[in-house]
Amino acid sequence: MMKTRIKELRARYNLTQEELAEKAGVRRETISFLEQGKYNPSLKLAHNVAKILKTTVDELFIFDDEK
Amino acid sequence: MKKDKKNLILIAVIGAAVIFSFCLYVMSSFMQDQIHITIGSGIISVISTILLIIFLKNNFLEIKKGLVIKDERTNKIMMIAFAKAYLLSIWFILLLSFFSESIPFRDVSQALNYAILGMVVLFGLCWLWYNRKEDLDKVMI
Repeated sequence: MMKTRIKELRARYNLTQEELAEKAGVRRETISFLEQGKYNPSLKLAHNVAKILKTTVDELFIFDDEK
Repeated sequence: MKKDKKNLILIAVIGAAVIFSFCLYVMSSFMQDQIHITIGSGIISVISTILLIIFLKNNFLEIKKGLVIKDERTNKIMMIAFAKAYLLSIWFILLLSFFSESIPFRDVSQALNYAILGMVVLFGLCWLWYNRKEDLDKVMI
């Protein structure tokens, strides 16, 4: 299970999903799926989003170990 | 962005051409008193037109906002949907040929048209299914 801090950091920087999508060069739906942990992004997209939100990939995406 | 706009215009033109040819098919079926085919094709034409308009409107709005209409997720969905639809199409065409004796096809070209239409519908359904799916990485092709 993957959790992300995208929503939290997006709110901190006052960005809408659309604005973040525009900056990352993806569709708004992709950001929505990412926020809900329903999509595993490529390393490049994860890096881009982390860079936009001024954080690192491992701080942005948290993986719960599957039991 | 310009490429997205060009692609969308191309989709609009192809979509309009397909719907127009479907309308001609509806008219020719109506003239030949094939009521069931007329109604069925008419319904498909109306649904296709509505879906095409919604699709084009949404995507043009996205482009206007400066967003892309294709990204890595949509590419992944397209690839999975194409692969699944291809496999399902084989089964669909096998079924069509198995029941060809009991389906009153006018000629070979009509049977081929049904096969192509079935493939398109299967692709559309696969795309809709995988567009809502959460774990795309777990999908086995």
